[in-house]
Amino acid sequence: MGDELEELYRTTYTTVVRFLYRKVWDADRAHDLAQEVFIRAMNHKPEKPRAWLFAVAANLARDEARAAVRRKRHLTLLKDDPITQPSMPQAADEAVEDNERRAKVDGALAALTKRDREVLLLWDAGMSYPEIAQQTGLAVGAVGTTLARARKRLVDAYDRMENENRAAHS
Amino acid sequence: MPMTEWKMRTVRHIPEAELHAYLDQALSRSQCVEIERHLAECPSCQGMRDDIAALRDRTTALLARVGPPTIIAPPFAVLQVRHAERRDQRTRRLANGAWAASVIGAALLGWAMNGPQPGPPQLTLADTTHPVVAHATPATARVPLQTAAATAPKPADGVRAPRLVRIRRDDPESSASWGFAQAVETDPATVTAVRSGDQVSLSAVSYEVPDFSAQPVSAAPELAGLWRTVVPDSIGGIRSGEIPLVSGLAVVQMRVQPGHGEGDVTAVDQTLDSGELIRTIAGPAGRVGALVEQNNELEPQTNTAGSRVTVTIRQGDRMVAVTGPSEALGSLLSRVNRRRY
Repeated sequence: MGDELEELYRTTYTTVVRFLYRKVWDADRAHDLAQEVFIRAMNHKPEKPRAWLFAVAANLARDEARAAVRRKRHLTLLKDDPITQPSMPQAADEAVEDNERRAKVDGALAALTKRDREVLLLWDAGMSYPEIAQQTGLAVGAVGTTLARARKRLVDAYDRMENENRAAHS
Repeated sequence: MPMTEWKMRTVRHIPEAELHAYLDQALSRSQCVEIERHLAECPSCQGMRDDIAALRDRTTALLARVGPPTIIAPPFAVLQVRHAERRDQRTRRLANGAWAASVIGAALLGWAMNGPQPGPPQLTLADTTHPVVAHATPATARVPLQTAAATAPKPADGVRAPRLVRIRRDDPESSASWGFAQAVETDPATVTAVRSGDQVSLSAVSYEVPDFSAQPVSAAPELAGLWRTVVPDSIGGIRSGEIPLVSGLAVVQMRVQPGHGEGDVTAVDQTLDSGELIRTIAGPAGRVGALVEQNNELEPQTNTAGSRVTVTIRQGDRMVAVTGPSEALGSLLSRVNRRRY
């Protein structure tokens, strides 16, 4: 099991980090959570480790999102306090573009239903249809339908945001 | 949708979801053959396949834009060490919980055997005059803690065998010093009840020991850098056979210093029956060499068993260094497990 897990770690760590990053949008946090996933795997010794890793990663990301909402509420409370408002540093053009692009994809992902988004991210993480079905509770035959819808909606939402952005700048 | 369903319909076009699954290579070989046969004859489905392929590529490209900049996986050993540390913490918590439960049990048993004490019928935790609260506020409890501890379960074997432990002596007038000693572990219930005395670190677990008779063995100089103590048999990925050490000797301590790409350095402290310490350091030659140099500067020049020497074995960019008493080292070297090196 140790060797198997080590091999899985070598081949899957990057994918798990990427999967988590698209849920928490913070590279350091994604790394932390990914390592937590593998440490838990050492303890649990799951029978189907790959599917288990992504299931735990999804759960950790969900917990993280809840914590982020709590933090956001707290920041909202502090918003009126002039001392706690940080001054925004002048970001480089490239970084601004990256952020805009990321925000658009983030927004497009947010436009999907929870299930569509989950299926799309699991597919992008390299999981097979049966693995996606097992994790999401869908029938294997329904994974293709869900993916078809999710892809279309993601691209539509992204294009819509691009058009709105262009209209706003013209 | 099953393949046969779309095949048998009057309008014989491939459903969109089926084409997604086809492009995602999620269909069986026979299903793929059927689809390809149909695609070869149906321009409409060919167009839809191309559209879906473009959509699929675009989705992948969009998601690829938002990945973290670079992903470098830390060495697996780092995770193993963190896992071992966490498990040790959990074990300690469980042990403390068991001890607390035994003390509570002992206190309640003592109370029951002595009969109810005169006092108000309703007991609360704030009632510090009653024995039942001994576990909550031992300092003010009527039942002496030693009595409670004495009734806590003893080890089944009764008397513990002496073990080699690593000791840190905190001298208020100078810095803390480390050494090794043969010591008898005190019953944890008694040990933890007393809050003074030396602190003994055994593997990754710390005990507070009020008193123990210890015969110092050879002093072990501290190794430079940040080391993680690991329990040899508890880490799935680190097999004892892969860490260079002298086979057949008791392991006192096993430590790992993550190498971040160039290979981990391991340091294993073992002991002879005479109490002499044998230290085996292995890893990248440069780092091992530096550690040996520093180790030798700190090694005591003489001790009860005579002079101590270090022998290094180098293979390529790897090195194993064994330090121990000169008269014993010759026979020990042939027992060094250095399969990986």
